[in-house]
Amino acid sequence: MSLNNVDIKRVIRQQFSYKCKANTSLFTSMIVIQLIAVLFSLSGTGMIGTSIGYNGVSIQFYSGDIVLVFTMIWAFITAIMLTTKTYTETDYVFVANHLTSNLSNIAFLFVASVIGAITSLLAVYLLKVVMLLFFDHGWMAASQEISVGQWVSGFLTTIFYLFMFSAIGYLIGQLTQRNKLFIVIIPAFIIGSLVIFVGSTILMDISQFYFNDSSFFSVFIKTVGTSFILFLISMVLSNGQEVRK
Amino acid sequence: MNVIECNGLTKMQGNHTALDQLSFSIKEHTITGLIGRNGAGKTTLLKILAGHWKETSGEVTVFSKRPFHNLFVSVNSIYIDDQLAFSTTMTLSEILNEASRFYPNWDKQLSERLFNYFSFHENQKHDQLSKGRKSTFHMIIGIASRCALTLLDEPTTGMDAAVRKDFYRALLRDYLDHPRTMILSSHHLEEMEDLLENVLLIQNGRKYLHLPMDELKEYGIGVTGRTEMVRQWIHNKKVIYVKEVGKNATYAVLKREGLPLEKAKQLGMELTPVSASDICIYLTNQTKGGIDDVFK
Amino acid sequence: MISSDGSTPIYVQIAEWIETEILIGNLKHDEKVYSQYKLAEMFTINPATAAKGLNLLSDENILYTKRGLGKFVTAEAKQIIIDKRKNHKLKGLLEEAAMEAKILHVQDEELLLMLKTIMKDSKGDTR
Repeated sequence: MSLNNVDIKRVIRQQFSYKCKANTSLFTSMIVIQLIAVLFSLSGTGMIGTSIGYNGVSIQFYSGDIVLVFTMIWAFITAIMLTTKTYTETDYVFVANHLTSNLSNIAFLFVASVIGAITSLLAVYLLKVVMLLFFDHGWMAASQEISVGQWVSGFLTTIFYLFMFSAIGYLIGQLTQRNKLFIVIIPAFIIGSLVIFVGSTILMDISQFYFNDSSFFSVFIKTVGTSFILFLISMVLSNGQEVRK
Repeated sequence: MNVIECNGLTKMQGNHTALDQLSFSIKEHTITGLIGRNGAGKTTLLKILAGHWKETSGEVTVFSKRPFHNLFVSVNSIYIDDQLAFSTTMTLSEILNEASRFYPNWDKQLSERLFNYFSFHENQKHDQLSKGRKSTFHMIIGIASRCALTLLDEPTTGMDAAVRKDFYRALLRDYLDHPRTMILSSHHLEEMEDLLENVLLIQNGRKYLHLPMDELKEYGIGVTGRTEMVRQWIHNKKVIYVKEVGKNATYAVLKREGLPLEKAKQLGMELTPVSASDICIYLTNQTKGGIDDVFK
Repeated sequence: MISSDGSTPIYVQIAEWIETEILIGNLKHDEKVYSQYKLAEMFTINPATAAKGLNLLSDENILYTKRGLGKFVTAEAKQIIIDKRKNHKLKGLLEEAAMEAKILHVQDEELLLMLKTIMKDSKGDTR
């Protein structure tokens, strides 16, 4: 039997599409999580009230932030799951090696981030529709009038944030696959650092660095750069590991 | 041309030596039976050849390449056991469809025919299959993928006798039409021995024998006779197995090579052939006796 | 037809099967015999084993090879097989019978008588 040559790009594409078909249940869980987030959002995030004489005004603020946070957690957990034995083993039933397995995982996580961004933005509209139909408010207004450009840059930043969270999850997943001790070490590290840095501004600085940036380009560089570095470390970690143990 | 070459291949698992200085080579287009007791290192060897596991020391090549995470080896070989993991959301026909996209030599028609012959249903899920049905389904993937190197680790686990027979026949028919290199590990040597060209017998991670099937069948000879006569006759000969049978009679298995068999016949000892499966069991017994020694 | 009980190697059984085919006239002089692949498929055996059986017959001049075409039955095939079976198989069977007779203390005359009776009966059968 003649031997077949192999094209690595072709294998990555095949694995990517295989993953999309095999992991449909992950997207179902995402929709469920986002619906729960919408439910939470219905109670509103803030309220201002004032009254002059008999006439009272109360302003209720609603936002899609909870949906976004939940979707980030979903991206984080999904990435961890992809590194577990159950998911990696399905890769190696057919043609695969470390590189194709990791790169197709990253491609999958990117697409998952895009879909997550689309649905979480749509969830905000769902929130508006639900408010309009079921809550008896005097009138409703969008907090800000946004341009198409702003909407697009908002959409893209959402993708980048989700992708970055999946990169963090993927690295944690790879670490725990490498050594089970990390299951204890990582939460201990996070809680420990919260305690230690409670007085300092370092945690605030970090979140400021990533989340409080009004320049789209700057956010792009920070999030995609961070994701790239995290994925690279993950790939180095998984290199040389045995599979189908 | 050799498809597989191992030279001093050693695999450590913690403190346990799973493969110990294994050296052998396997020629192209042969069917080899990988035989050994439980824990002899069969699965370890196959997983190293498939590129899933890493050798600790020594040299191993498949298609002249080191197999560990080698994509070229991966696309030209397939490793089948009873633990293939699939998504729980995919149906059996979707799984076959995916497999067909990965393997360039995949025969869609054959896979569909086997699928129907063994009466699988398109919408069945993999995790709903029984052990034997899973093995049958995996076997379809193993055969239809037509990989130049096909590694089957205990492929008949859980299959009933009729399916096993069909499986061996299907494997041979497809091999005749599309010759490739195959390694089968199994406990059922007697069932698949007709299929095999060579046998690789391993024991405690070491190579014990690697020879053509026909030679293995003639490797040993059974001698039965009065105990003192047999004991005297087998003295200074290569004894593989001894067992007392009945009153004052002993059955001994010896290496046939160079034995004065005519003389044994004249002495009144009965000579019987030893089947390949029995000789493998006797050769890999840790002690010269058998389970009966436990009850002495 | 092919048994795996271990008493006779498969390739010998294959050779014997072809011999019988020649003896009963299913394969005639200068006729092409089955290829190793055809035999492998017929008996579900490894083609290498089948080839070994064919080579055994070539070595005994029962078959000859036409390069690129396969193996064919020689002119002397039938005679060689008959001689061989007489000298080996039949003799071997008789040896075994003699050995068994010795263990059972059967006298020579008695054994010969048994043989004669058996032959008479089998002739009756063919008639």
